[in-house]
Amino acid sequence: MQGPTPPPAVSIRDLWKRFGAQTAVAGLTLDLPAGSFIGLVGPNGAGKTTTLSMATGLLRPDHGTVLIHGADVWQDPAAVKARIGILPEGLRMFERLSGRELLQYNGRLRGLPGAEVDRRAEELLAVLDLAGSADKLVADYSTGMRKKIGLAAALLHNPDVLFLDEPFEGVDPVSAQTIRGVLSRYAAAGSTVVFSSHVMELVESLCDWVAVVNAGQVVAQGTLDAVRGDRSLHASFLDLVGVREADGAALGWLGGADR
Amino acid sequence: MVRTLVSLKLRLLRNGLRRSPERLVGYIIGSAFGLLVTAGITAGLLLLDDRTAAADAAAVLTAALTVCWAALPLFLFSGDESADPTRLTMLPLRPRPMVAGTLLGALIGPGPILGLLLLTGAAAGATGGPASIAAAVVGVPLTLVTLLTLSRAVAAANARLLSSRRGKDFAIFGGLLFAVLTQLGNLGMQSALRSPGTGVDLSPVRPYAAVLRWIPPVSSLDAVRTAADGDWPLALLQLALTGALLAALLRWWLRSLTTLMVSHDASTQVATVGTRSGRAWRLLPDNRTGAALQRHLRYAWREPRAKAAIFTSIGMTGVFCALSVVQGWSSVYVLVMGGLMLGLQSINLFGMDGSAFWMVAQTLATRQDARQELRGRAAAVLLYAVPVLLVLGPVLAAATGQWDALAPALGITLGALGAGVGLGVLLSVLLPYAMPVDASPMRSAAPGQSGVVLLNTFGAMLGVALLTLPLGGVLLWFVLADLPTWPLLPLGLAYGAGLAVLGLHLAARRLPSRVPEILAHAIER
Repeated sequence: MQGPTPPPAVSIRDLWKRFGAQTAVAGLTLDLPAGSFIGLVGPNGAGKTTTLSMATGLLRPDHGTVLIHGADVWQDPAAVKARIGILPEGLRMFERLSGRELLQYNGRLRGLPGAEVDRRAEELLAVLDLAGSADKLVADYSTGMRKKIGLAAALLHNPDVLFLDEPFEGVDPVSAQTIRGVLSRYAAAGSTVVFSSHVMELVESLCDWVAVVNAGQVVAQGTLDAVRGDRSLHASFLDLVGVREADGAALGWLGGADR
Repeated sequence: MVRTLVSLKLRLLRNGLRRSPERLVGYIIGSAFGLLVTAGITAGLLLLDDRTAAADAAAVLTAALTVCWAALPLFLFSGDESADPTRLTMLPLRPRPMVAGTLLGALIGPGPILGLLLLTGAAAGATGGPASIAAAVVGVPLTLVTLLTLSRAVAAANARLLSSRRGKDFAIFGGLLFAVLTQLGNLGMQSALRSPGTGVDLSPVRPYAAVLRWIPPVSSLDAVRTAADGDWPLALLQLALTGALLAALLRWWLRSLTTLMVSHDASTQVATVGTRSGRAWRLLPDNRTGAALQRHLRYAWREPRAKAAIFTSIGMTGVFCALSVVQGWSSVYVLVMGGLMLGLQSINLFGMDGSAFWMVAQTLATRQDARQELRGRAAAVLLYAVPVLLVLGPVLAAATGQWDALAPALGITLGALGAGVGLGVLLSVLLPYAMPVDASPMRSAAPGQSGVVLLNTFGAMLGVALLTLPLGGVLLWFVLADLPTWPLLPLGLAYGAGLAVLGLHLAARRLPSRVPEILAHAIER
């Protein structure tokens, strides 16, 4: 990196979201450097998905601002939505379209010219190893195939920042390798990838920058080496979120000869 | 083992009802309604003074019951978990006790009780003498058990298909088709059996009954009549026929279960079917409007819920028109109802997307996007609504002979359609609601939203009716002043188009700022 610090790709300030009595995100503040492969880690229910939803304009925050390359997500949605791609977790796609139709539909919604959409769609289908299933309905796809077609849809308009919520959840190793390959290529070209996960080994092998979220707040952020220190990311993560030791007395009957 | 399966059924029933008070109320009302209808039919059979006619009716009734029971798993399979043997494949079970337990479990619930009541009534109408009562005591339970076995055996034989996506898709649409066919059959029966003055005349049923009574499981019920006639060897034969069918069905069921338990699940392979792309799509504009329109039309055909909604409105219009013609009060103006029903298809456009709406939300930022998106979806609705109405209009005119009223009727209909589209699009933006996650076609909204749905449906109906009223006023004026009524066609067209455009304009202004709120409502929970 040259010069002073370049402006962050994503800048989140004092973000809050409450669902009834439960506070999902509590004053989260985070700057994500441009051109990095960023891992957002945290236990289940830490607020990762809520944060990503608010950062991408899908969920209105109670309070706080999100800037993507300087543009406010909630003041200037047109500028932001054109520059980001997302792969949410737990939301469906239009599954009664075939993989190819889904990409063609998505590209046209993005306002790309039809011929260009078709060309990019074919390339993405080929690279993501979906060409053989391109005419099957997404409803009949496996989990890995769904993630791959979702990734293709998120990449179609060549965004500056890519948000991925649990992109490897339930994905077989072969598909996971394909996804990793595409993501690495995309990040190497200078774009920013933000992905959430609770698989530390994965984050360690892919990311150069990590933010640890717990109970709706950032408890650590920085380069991978700064966050993990001389330990594994797994060990420092468990330390950061404060895990209880397993109770050895219970489950004494499990295993052993007494059935 | 058998006890466990029976208590499983009881527990599933209880927990299913416990999930929400609405379910419990629906269950109770549904059962009570079924009981009422059954009691009515049974009373009707008992009141028939002619024993032969009662036996004929009983034979036809049992045959209808058999068809319904065989078709039942196709529609209710995903609803009744105890009917799905694949859920038990991981447990160390032998097929024989499983069959016994499932069969006993199947006896629990309102369906078998209503069936028992109906069959008892049908048998009672045909009794005469102690021999026939003895035949009824054997025949009625035998018929019921055979019906239940038939239903479960069909379910087990098709379990893989029924639990696959295509099976579930078919179930929704098939259930609808079945309902429409039942209505049409009902209509036909009514017009065939009603002879003026003399009340109900069952003689047209006789030739069918003469054949049906030899086919099991109808034969075991008809044994009551045969025994009453004193021909007890024949009655025994009829009972034996059903007994043989029961044995064959049990064998089939057992074999299906064994196959299910030991073969791997290939339902995803059954489900995969390729899509093809037609040439006509190239005529669409190469922008968001075209993309939204194309997807909406594809969903109208491929997504079972959307398909069911559209075909319900078309089917209801059709049945309503047929009813009006059969009952002799039809008029070309009945067409207006079709306009109303089809216009309402534009209600809750985004709620229908479910959580997939995020893909739209992600790309919708400006008012221009909103306009194009809404235009595409409204155009898709019009693209099937207008042809249906243009076909139905002349059909109605031909049926009633009121060709001169066709033009004004079409005018008012198109006015109502335009009003429906305009209002529907606006409500889609202002009052979206989630569709239920489970595939039950009978429920149109996720729990807890009945209020919003009522507001949407009845508000829109009332709104469309009010908005169409001026056209009715103009018609009245034309008729009273003895003016030609055909100018109502261009007038209604212009009025409807104006309302649709107005609705689209207002909706497009509100849509961009409401995208996250709509997404929050559209996600099914």
